[in-house]
Amino acid sequence: MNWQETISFFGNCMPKSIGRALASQQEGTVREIRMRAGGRGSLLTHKGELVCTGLMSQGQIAQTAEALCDHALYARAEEQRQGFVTLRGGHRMGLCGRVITQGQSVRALREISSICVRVAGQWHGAADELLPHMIDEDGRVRSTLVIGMPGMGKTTMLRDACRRLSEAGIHMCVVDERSEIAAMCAGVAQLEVGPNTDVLDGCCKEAGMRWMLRAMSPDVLVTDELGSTLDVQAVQEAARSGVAVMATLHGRDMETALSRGMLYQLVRDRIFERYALLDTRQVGRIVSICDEQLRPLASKEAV
Amino acid sequence: MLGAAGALLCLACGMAAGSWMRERRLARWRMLSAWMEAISGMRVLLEQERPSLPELLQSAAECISSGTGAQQAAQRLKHTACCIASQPLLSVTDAYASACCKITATWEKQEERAAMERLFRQLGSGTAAMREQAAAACLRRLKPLEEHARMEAEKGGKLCMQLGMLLGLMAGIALW
Repeated sequence: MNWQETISFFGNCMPKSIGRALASQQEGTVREIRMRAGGRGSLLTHKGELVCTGLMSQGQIAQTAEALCDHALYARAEEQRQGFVTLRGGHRMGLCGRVITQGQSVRALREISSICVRVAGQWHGAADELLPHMIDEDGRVRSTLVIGMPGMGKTTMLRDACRRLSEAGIHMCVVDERSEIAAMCAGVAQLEVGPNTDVLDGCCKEAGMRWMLRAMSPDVLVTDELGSTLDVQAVQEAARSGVAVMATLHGRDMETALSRGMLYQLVRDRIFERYALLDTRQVGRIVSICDEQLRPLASKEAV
Repeated sequence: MLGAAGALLCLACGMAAGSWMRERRLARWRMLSAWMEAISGMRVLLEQERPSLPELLQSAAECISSGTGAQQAAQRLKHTACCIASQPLLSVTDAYASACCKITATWEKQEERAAMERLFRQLGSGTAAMREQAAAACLRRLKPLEEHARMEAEKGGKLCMQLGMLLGLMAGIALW
């Protein structure tokens, strides 16, 4: 999906004031689109926030959410429970509203009152700095984990690395649980992941990685946002079978990421050979790259 | 007064009127049967595949067999799907209303129209289970209507033909 198609998609699905504001923006400048019931829509651009005219009702917000999901929000209940839904083109729509709970778990989301769309972008060259560290002397791909805060470019970097390695003839297999890496639509990747890449779309990481190992004999497995012990087990299984894994993890820095326990387990078992930590302020900037024992290989002073 | 040719013409007109009445009843029955086929298809899709609304309506339209009445039902579903796909902010109810305006069915009665409008209102919101439930409820509402329409088409249709022929014959004799 190019920028014109993105503008057309959002323009059709969102209130006119937002559509007009979007139409005047250049590619790569819009990072977020926000809408609230009883409030005005706004675009978060590189230059700052651009507030649109016209107040929006709750009905309009709900209708917009439905439209953005191609009228299939009902089929995305599991994603909704996690608070966001991935849209056509790989954009991510965060939702707020009235949560219906059962015990401690979220059952459903009703009366959607706020939407935050994070605009996905293809950034060629996002992994330039990372790639030299990912290939060893024998030309083998090293298992790599990208750690960073939300919105700092982890997935963009992962996608670019996948594309570049795939173009180099390495057989990449993507387990795209939330359709954010390849943004598959009718069997075609909307974002470039390379010519030598197979994508398993919408499948949970644990089952997906096993599936890929069994069915597609990958050189490298790519997946986004490790979040549970089951994900870690699947990564361990892949690594033990000799397949390199590229993944991302939420974390402000190594210490906070290690405190989650999951990273500690991965470091202890030396599953990943490289860890790339992203800056907390500048999108896509690597502040340090560490080896399998978390010893820094290259570091930069944060801006 | 009109002669033999006039009498025959009256007979033919009577038969044509009877046939038209019969065709209307058959069309209503076919349309109701088509709605039931489509909604049964929708239920399976909602349960198994959970497609987007335009895809659901398109697939349901493909479940419908051909024939006057059934064709209109399929066209309405397709038109509703197109409306939603081209104007995503349009509500499902409005898209269906637009389809009803564009593809008319004069034989359609208020009961089935209300049942379908209610279904489309419910199809636009709620969980998959709620939508599937709405489709099941609509099927339950349409079932007796379809039974009644079938009886009307089978018995009443034949009667209309006979009555038309009889009236045409009587008029022909009277005017001869």
